[in-house]
Amino acid sequence: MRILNQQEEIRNIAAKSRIILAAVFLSTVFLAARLAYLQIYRGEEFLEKSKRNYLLREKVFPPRGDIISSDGVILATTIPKFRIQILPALFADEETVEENILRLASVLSLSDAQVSELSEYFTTCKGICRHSPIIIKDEISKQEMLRLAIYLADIPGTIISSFYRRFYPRGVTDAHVTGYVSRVAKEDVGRNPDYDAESFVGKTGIERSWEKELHGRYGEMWHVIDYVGRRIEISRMPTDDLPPPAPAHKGNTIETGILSYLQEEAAVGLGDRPGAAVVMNIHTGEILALYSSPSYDPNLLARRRIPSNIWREYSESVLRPLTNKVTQESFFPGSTFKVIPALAGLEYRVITPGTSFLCTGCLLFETETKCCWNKWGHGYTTLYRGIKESCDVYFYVLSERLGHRRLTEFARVFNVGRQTGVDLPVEEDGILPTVEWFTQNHPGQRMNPGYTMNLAIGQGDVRMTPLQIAVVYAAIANGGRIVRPHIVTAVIDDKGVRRAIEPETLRILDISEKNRREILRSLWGVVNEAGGTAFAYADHTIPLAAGKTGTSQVISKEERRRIDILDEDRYAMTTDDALFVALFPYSQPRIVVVAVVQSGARGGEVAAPIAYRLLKAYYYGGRRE
Amino acid sequence: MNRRLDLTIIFPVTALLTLGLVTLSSALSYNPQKFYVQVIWVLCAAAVFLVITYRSYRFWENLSIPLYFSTLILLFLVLVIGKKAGGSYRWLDLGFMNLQPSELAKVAVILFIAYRLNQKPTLQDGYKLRDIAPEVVAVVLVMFLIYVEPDLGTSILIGAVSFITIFSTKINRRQSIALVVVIIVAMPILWKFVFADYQKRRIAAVVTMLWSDSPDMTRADRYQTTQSVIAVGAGRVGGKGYRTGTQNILRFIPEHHTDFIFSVYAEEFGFIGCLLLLALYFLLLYRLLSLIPIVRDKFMALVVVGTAALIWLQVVINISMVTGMLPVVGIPLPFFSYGGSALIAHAILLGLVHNFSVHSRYRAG
Repeated sequence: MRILNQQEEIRNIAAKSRIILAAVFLSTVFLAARLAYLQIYRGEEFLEKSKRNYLLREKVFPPRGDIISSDGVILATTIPKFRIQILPALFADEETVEENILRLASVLSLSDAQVSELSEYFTTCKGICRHSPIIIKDEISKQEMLRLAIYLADIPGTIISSFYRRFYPRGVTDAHVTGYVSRVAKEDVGRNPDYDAESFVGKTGIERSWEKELHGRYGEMWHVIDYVGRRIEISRMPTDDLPPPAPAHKGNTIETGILSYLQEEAAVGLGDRPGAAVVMNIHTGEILALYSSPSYDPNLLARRRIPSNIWREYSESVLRPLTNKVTQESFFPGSTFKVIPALAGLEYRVITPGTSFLCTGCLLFETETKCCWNKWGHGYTTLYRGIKESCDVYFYVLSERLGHRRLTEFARVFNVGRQTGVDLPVEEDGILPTVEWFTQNHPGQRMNPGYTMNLAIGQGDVRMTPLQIAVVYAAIANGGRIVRPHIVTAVIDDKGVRRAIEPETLRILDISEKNRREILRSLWGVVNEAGGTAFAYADHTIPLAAGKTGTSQVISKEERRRIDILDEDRYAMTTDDALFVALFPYSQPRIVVVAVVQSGARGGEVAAPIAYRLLKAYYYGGRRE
Repeated sequence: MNRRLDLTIIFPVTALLTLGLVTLSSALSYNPQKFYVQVIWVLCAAAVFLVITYRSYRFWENLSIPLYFSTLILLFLVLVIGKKAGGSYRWLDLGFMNLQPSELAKVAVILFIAYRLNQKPTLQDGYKLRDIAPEVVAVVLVMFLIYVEPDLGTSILIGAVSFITIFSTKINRRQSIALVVVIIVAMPILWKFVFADYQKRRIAAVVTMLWSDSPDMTRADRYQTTQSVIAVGAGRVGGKGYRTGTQNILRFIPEHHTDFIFSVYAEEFGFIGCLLLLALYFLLLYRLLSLIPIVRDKFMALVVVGTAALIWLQVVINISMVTGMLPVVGIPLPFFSYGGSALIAHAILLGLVHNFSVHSRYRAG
């Protein structure tokens, strides 16, 4: 076979190379087509995608709105604070880490424990961890920050950032009015889906119920970030497509009906005894003072992280300092409840003011004996004396005549066992033991007249919050209007425009003026006439008030007898609750005061002086007499 | 001594190198020192190019066989004492540089085939497969050594370049048809036994990417391609402008200065820039292939074919990879990607081609 010469070989290869050239041309056209598709047809789409890569929106936190009292005292405000963070990636590498930690420690005067904790953190922090900043010192003041900034400038990777810290100037005194804020938790996100994870949200009190007004609007700022999310100085990035920053808007100021001096008096009056005190305007339902004892310091809880020892102390204490005892805890109203059967008796014409019952100290019925607090008996007792001296037997007999259904129906229109609708979160319902309630909660038992008798003196199963008691007395004093208590009187926006919160009336009761006057007159007797249960404890230097004492058993006498007297805590806790309600001034009532001292033993002796303290402060307008 | 230059080769190469350096200076703006190293490599490559041009090509031709065997040794060495990067052993640490023997292998295989086939006269109806068996074995050996690094992409590239070079000579028609059949049968077997899982996944990912908007691949596999496609697309018609490509400057694309340098170029210079680039490559390849009729022997012709095939395949594979049409395989873009070994390898091949061009015309003229 013939062998090709060089010329033929080359000609052969040249022929093949034309095929290659054609392939080169076609592939070039193909690549150009692909590029045209990506860059022209879908170019805008990819430009947007590239922006989503490097543009980071940072939320600018708004300062929270203030909460102020009606006499102009700041109850809650916001102050700027600073924190020092370090970014591990920039702070140090493996060789310099020990040295830099020591430098940091000397500048910030860190303890040995903190230093060893830091070194340990650095040995485990690898990868993405090195790009997330850690907080070294939190909540430092501006002066402190300025002093430290000079030294920190020499330490790489340190970040000083500012934030708003909630501050309650009067702390403990107003804690249950203001409530407190804390970092958004998972359960808060549902209520406020747009909140940043570093945001604070109201947990209790006004902070929670008025969260929407107080929070303010986030601003925004755009940053350029690189592939690991590090922020890049804009001057290094020639991009003109950064959206403009938007400022944050401060939350609205909340104006309350609170009188700061009444708050102080309530705090001093209750002292370290557990209990509650509330002062309310009887016409508008405006709350002028609200104090629950023991209280807590909201400043300790409004931190980024609540110290666990403080949280444990507050949440595990048997005295429940975090519970607002004015709205979130119900008590046996005891004798303060008696105004309801009394008024019911008059309205249903079961009694007249002149009707009298004989109190011999105890009452026998069926197989039971029910006694009056006064075992010597009150003798023949009319309504006036029944209330003034708080005769139990009078109300036993009255309740028998009224019957359970009529009594509870009457109590229901006063909103007993229903939330008052106050603008504070998580309100307690209380209990009105209606017939339906009884069959549901005591299945298989028969309701006997003794149960109704207990209800008539505010015992048995009836439970009311101090605020509910205040609403009942307000209705008696204001002519039968059931007001909706409210603590916030106005919202002032960041332009200074004031929007008043209108008082609300839930219901107007049709009560005869004569009967109402009769009840008020009896309440007057309680404090102003010898023999009244509070006469000895009333302060007669201010205009006349009307009032009612209450001393309520928290457990039955038999049960209490079974408690070991050496178990002091338990024994003390089962002492009777002391209550006192006052309407002031008697001639033209404006306010109602309810004071409750848990385990206070005697309503007149223990609770009345606290109520009078408040009346006096109210009368003198906070000035010392 | 002839000192004329063939500007039809030098112009497109210089233009490509210039664009390459401009792009690299942008991609490496966070680390200018690395960029200066590349500038030095370009200068070294130019020196190599000139040295090869002005020595008789016979001298270089005779080095083909020693070059092949020393490359084999280096490929062995890299497996034993190589430097690991990204899970592969691809580099030899020479102290002053990291040598990538697989780049040298591209040159060695082309020269080896050209040299050997030049020695073997062709019969009228072409080579029988038996005749080219030793060359095929030599190529497969190199492919195998590179495959186990592992570097499947370069291994396949060398196979393809060798295939084109060998088949540009005359091969017995009946036997070549048989070969094609064998290859088609062998494909599923290769898929089953040779490809590693991550390679299969990448291939599958790209296949699905062609028709699906949400390809089913692992995050790591998907990220690089997604980001480079974003960069290319975001360049639109005119490009974002030199040193203002955000995908580039903020380093969203891993390996954006080596295998993915095209994404930086496309982002900053847009579709117009890309057309210019494709035109320059086409111009160079056209010029190389049109040299074939005027060269004087089969060695020269085969070296030209091999060089053109190498550049062409790398450009097509690389740009396809960056624009999301091929899996992520380690094929750099000639004259653009960061790295000295590749530059020197291309300088050797283009130097030889330039040598042929200058000397053939000198004789002819």
